[in-house]
Amino acid sequence: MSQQPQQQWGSRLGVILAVSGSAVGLGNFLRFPGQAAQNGGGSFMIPYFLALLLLGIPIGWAEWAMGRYGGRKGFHSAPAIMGVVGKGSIARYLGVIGVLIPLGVYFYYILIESWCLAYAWDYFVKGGIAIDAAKPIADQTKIANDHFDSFTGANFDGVMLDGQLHESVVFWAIVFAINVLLVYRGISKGIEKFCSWAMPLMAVCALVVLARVLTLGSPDAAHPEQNVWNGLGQMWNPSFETLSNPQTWLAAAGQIFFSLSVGFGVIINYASYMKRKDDVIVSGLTASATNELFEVGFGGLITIPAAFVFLGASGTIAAVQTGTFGLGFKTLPVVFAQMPAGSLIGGFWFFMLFLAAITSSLSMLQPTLAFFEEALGWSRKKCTTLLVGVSLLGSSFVLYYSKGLTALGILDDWVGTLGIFVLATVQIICFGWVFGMDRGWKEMHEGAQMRLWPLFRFVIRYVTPLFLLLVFAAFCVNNLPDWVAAVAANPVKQMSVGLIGATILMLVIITRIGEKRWRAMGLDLDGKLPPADEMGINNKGGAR
Amino acid sequence: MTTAGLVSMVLSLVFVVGLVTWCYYRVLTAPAETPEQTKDFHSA
Repeated sequence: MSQQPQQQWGSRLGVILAVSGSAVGLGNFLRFPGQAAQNGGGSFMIPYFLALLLLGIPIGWAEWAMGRYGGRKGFHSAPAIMGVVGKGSIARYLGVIGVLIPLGVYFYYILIESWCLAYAWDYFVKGGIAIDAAKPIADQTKIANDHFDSFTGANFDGVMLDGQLHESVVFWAIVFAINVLLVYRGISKGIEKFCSWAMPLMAVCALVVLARVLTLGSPDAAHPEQNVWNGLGQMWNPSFETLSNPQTWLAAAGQIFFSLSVGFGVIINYASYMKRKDDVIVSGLTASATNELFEVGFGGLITIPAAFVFLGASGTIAAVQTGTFGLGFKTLPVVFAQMPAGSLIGGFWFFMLFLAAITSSLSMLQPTLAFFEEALGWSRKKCTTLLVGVSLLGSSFVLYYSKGLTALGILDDWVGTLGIFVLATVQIICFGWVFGMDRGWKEMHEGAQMRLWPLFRFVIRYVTPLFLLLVFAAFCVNNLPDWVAAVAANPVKQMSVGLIGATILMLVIITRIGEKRWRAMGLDLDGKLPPADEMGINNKGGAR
Repeated sequence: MTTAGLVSMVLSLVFVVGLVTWCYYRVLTAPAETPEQTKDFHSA
């Protein structure tokens, strides 16, 4: 067992900014506007805010409380904490999903992050990606598409690791190194310190881009209807008939879910470094609110209006349908090419996306590192080396099988979507039903700055699990058969699922090692006793 | 943009900005951690 000092957050604001940084990602600026515009515009906000109140924030509070409770028992990884809260090995092994998700998502997210940095570099240093604004929009779009496909290797497998030094590989290596360095520095000196300046800087970049978009007016005299006001209308005009479509409600729940980083295995780990009397209710609410500010306040005002002003209604709808990458990396470069001071604004935009991505990717590495440390009992240096090895292997796989971004898509579907639903459901059931609502409610209010309405007891115990199970069932009926069929038909997709399987196997084996170790150390890994700080025992050091 | 669109946008923004402002006000004006609390955690 390594004797390392117990890690803790330096300040309350630090943990809030770190959790907010984890939540704010590309989805806030690219996925949310697309989802809203496609599902009723302003009326989408009704199911969206309901899902925030009934799903996102309650699960978040439960995760914050479980994490802090686990930390008081000396644990910091999802399997160990879930074992304590879920009182046994079933919950502990289900908790493996809480490491699989951040690690599996990191395999591909680090690539997307490197694209953002590379595009920011192109805009700040080279003035853009060589789109000639004098050419027809169709030609400009082709240039943007070709640039993206060539940069990401989306045309052929293996092109990124063919022995030549590709620009994208260089940026991938730089971003990978920055992440590892920051996580190695630790919770307070690395992640907290970085997020403390990265989050305000991200807000400044967003404000610069927002100010530019809102002052565009009507730049094309031939199309005066293509103005900012109508662009905002494209995003916000409600169509209430969409509310009768269950797909709208599923889309809203899904957006809240993925946006807030709940059920991701991150909050439970970050909260485990809090102190017993640290508030989790206002802190959790603040982190969620910060995420909403970036999503609704910036994401809702920038992307669609900017695209509308230069591409018109049909162009914007087509752009939204190309998905997150299409909108972010193929359409917006065309928009920046038409925009006055577009190179500078493009640079701010992609640098903002890079900051959003890196504050998220840091939160993906830390839960895995904490898991290795406490399950294996190795030094931080040794565990970081293992983490680098595993994540390098997984990320190289995604980099190699780049054609059509197939491997990336499979990991995103099976780990970044399905896994999150499963983990969130397991967590909320463990919290409300196994740990017990009375105990859970008491734990949530330990050191709390405000008391919650008793209504939330009912919500956490009944409404949220039911809501999740319904969404999950609908998802299984609607999507799962197609996913399975797609995997059966494509060898790269099969290998990607194999990668996920191998990662799960590795994590299960390490959990087994940790389980034996914790038992040998006499730790209460099945949550039978109250935390040491309630029994007058010094708990410093914990499972490590 | 229609009036309904404007109302949707303004209500959403007011809700989000109001929530953020209230939350950060609560966080930043919370009393600093007392030495007793620290002692309670570390030495209990």
